[in-house]
Amino acid sequence: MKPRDISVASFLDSRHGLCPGCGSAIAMAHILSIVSQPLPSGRTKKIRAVVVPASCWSIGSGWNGVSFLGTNLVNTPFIAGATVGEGISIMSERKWLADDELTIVWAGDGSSFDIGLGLLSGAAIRNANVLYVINDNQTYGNTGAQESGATPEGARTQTSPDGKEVAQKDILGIMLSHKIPYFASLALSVPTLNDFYAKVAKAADQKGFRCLHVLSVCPPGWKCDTSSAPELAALAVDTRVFPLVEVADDCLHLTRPKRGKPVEEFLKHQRRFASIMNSPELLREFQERVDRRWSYLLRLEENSRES
Amino acid sequence: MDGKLRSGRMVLTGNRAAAHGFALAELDVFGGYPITPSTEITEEMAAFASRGVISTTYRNMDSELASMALGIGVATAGGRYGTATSSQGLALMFELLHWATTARLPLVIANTNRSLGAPWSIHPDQTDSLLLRDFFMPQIYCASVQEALDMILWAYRLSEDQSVSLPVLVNLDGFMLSHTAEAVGVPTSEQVREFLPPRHGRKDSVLPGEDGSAAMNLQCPYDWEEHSARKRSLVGAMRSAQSLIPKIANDWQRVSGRCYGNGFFRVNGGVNADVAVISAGAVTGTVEEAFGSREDVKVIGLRFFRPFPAEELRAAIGNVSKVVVIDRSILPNGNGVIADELRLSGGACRYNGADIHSFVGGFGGQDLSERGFIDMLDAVRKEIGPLKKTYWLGGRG
Repeated sequence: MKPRDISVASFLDSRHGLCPGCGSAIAMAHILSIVSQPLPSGRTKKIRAVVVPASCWSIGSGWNGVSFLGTNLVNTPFIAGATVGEGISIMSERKWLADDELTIVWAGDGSSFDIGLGLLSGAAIRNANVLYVINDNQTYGNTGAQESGATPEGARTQTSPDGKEVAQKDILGIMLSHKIPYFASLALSVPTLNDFYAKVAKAADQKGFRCLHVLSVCPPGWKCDTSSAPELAALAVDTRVFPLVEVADDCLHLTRPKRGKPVEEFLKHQRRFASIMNSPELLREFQERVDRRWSYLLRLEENSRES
Repeated sequence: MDGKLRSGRMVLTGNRAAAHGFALAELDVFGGYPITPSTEITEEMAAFASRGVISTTYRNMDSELASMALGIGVATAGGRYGTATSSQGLALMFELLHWATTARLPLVIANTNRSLGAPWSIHPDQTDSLLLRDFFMPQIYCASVQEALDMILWAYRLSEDQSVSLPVLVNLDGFMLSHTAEAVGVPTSEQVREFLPPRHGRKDSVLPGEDGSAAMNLQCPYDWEEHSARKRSLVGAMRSAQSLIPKIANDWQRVSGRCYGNGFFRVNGGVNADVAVISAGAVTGTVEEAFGSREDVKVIGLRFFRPFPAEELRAAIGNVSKVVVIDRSILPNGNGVIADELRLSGGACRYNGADIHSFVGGFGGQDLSERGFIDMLDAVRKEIGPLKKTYWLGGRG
């Protein structure tokens, strides 16, 4: 699949209030477009609502009752997205529309990894019929880029001026422990289009708690160029900093990058990693963490195949 | 699976009576999370759902915060939702409960009153629910097990009226009502359906139906004029609740045969009263035991704290010279909450021309007895003053 093969249905209206070059904005446009097309099973679903816990989208997706996404939006407090989505989806079930109506929760990494983790856990273990998108820009974006559980170790944020001192939370491990029917991590870039489109369609086609972990390039938070979102997303995958994983039917599948690259190819475009780029030792440690994580995922993939 | 909710006379605890209220209200969803002393409501709902007595979707939640989040989702999608909690659980709901009130989402919470810590206590007082006195949320206080059932049904009727469209909190005292068994008349489903019609959501607070209406952006940011209009409409919603309550009381009497007067409070005794004693919750029963047969004391049990029925109380206390208020709560200004409310609406220390005498107590398991109330009244008649003071019942001076 090449960019010219895609026509994105018009969901995201030009009045949206997201930043220039926002990776989340293009991911939203593509995902709403994909889930509204006929799905692999042949079924077409109707978006019942997109639930938006506090995030850039709370102020960027509409104004005065108007939705700039063309779908119903339900704004909620930061902590509550997953369970509000569950409540909406239960009402679809009670009307025998569980197969026809799609409830999407679009939550940031702060909302998912940190403040809303408890409620996310509850909705996931109850297998709520929700498509839960973690819009992961690795920072509290809406408040101006503070450290979140998803921030990579060593990255500088407004509240970690010397670089993050603790590890990045393993959201894959957390979600896997909830035995949800579908989990995938995905990034929107030219070389990963097939992977991205297939995973979104597959997730939308199923029932139960499906989690899409989307890497969202955030130019103000990452201190990178506003035109760099697709390239940085591709580099995050090629350097294995953001591994593309799919977990379904107890099997874990890793999408291998076409050409592996050293981490500095991803880091050097972002000033949040400046101190790492200036220190050979910190750079080596970062590379080692990425390598360890990759081989851990390879072992998980191998083991899941055997079982 | 016995498949049917029994009606007629039966002996129930306050918690089980409240669960019968929820069952009769034919909820779409009940979110359960245990906390002493409300747990039995949740257990009973789980049992009703599992036996197929009700068609409600029952969910075990992971906290009271999650219970409220689920309620926001269900109510936003047009469903009828209920949950039960106490004390710390109600406090944990704070953020989302406030959201539900200002988002005009009807739902009902049964709060089995329990002291809000610290110190740790499972004993009842009213510090948990009265902490939410500044919420746009009707608050009902039950004085009997029968009321625990009936008020859940009233709460849905009030909550879902389109001119109100707010969450409603139904309070019953921990242990004193929740774990005390009394004879209760359980209405039939047909009677309840006559009283409580299916929910029709307000257009500005629920997701649109399948009719192809334009996409909505619920609870998004608004310009200041619309934001202010929404704030003002909350005041209007509480006023609507105030005017609706007597009608609800009347309709309930027609359906159930039970008389609740104007709905706001119950009044006993005091044909020639010079003193009115006001309290809320199960303690009202003890006060009635102490004074109920006397002509010189009027006992008023406040059923609605929000909206506060200031005008109706004026009429009810008539021309007594002293008003005695028994509060099971305490404010930073030293007042009990109900006394404070009366002082606010009637001048610093007088209400309707009568002197206000404020008593607080009942914390940490303190037993408020008939003897204590009789002593209190003697003190009020003989020696008490100054009026601005708050007197602590019993205990260390």
